Amino acid sequence: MRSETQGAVMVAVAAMVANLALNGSHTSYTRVGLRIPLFLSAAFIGVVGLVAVLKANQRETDPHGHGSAGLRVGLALLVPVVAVYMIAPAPLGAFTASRSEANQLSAGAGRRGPGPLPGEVTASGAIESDLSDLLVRVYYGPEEVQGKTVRLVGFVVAEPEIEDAYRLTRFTISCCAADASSLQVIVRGVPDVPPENQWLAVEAIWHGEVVNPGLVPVMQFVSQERVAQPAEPYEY
Amino acid sequence: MTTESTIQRGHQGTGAQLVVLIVIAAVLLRGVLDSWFDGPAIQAWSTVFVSIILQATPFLALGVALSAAVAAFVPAERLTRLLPKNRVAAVATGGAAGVLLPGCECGAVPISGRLVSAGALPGAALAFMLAAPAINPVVLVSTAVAFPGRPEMVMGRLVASLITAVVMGLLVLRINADGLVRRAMSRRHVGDSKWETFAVTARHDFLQAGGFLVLGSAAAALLQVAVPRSFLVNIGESAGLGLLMMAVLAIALSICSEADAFVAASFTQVSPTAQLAFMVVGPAVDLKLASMQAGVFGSRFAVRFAPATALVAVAAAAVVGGVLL
Repeated sequence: MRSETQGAVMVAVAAMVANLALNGSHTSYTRVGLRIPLFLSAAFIGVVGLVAVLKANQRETDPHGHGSAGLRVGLALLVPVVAVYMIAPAPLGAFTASRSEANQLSAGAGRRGPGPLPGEVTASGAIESDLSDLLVRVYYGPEEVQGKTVRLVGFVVAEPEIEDAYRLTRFTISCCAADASSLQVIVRGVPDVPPENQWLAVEAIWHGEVVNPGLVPVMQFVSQERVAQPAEPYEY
Repeated sequence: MTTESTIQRGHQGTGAQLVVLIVIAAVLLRGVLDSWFDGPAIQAWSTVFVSIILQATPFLALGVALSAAVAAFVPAERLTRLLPKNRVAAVATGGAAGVLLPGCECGAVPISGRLVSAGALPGAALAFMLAAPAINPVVLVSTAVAFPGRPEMVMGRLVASLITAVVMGLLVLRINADGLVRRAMSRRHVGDSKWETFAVTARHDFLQAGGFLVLGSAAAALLQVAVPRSFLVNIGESAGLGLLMMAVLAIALSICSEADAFVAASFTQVSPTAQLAFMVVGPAVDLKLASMQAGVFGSRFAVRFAPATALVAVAAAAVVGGVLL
């Protein structure tokens, strides 16, 4: 592979990484905090690539061309670039959630400990919470959340057993979507069940019921509202 | 090689344009071909695939910058003088030096390749490569966070990973694998200036390690989508093979070493020793790493080194887990 081509591959990768970090869609794949490291690495890769392209134009034959024969594999780096722009992969959704076990909280989750839910209270009197906070309370201090109206944001996954219900789901990641695990509550008594992957803000009450596998809390429906996918689709 | 470069000369100038065309076509055809890629399995595969690569990019860039700096600015004699004369002590030093590299495993492979080509003892450079992603402070802290109140997990990880790294380094010494890593030793790129050497080496290492990272990530993402995690764990549980299954899972999932403790902790149905095995095997050998090692050290080396590393890592985790946990 000529050094000009090598440089062009690197510039394409750098542009893709910088583009994702710039428009914030890197949060579909990694933690939001990776943004700065992504920019820095895109700058480094882009500059090294650009130097190769410019130098190759300066002098047509590369006197140090030896050893670049094994670099054809570098063309594989165009696959993620093409995947990002052609497939535009969405954050993990119902397909993955329905094929993995829910609520496998690591022991580390318990350090947030029991206690009252920390979220804001809405005009209707519901406590805003993320799914991981709610689940930690359900498992480690159930009396604090029992009987209270909680407002949660997540997407719809079909519930196979209970009628007029869905699983409100959110993925939690520690680094990237490859290590994702799903957090779920079942919302029952829903007048109209939206299609899978629809993002919702739901108000519901937990009366102490959980179902196996995964000790999924079953909550009573109060209200729901369709919302856009949040800027940060994963919980951390 | 001569024939290859002659063939490439024939296509002068077409390569870069082709790259530009492929990218433009991808952007333009996005709307047209959308329905082809609507399948939820393809969506899930590409999300996991892009995630692994995006997450690895900063660490790969850091690793490549360091490896290029080694090639350009560190004279070979300096490196040889840094390591103890005694070869066994040199391997142990290489392993312990892994504490110094913050980050996960993708950066360690090109650095170790450059250390070998700069004249370091291959056993020591490989011990560094295996130890760095498992025993650096960032990874140890994230392990402590994932297992609160259980410092023995952090200690077990440190000890078992270091044992794995040093044993593999000594094994490479013993069987005199210098010939096997010849591919890494023969590649030096000398430019007119130190900065040119830096730029050429960085480009070379990024394309090589990055290209193999893409192949490994594609395979890991495929396994994640095709085989649900719970399936393997259930087999392991029912057959009493938890430890082996967690090792297989670590190889298949190819999770960053900074995140693997959280995933290990979430497998509450297996024994602590099996959780430890997951954290000891993963940073030393998984699909993307084996693929990158094949690129840097040659596939003849990788097909022997990766399985041997997996065996040693499982044994180290079993012994350390038995004593500590």
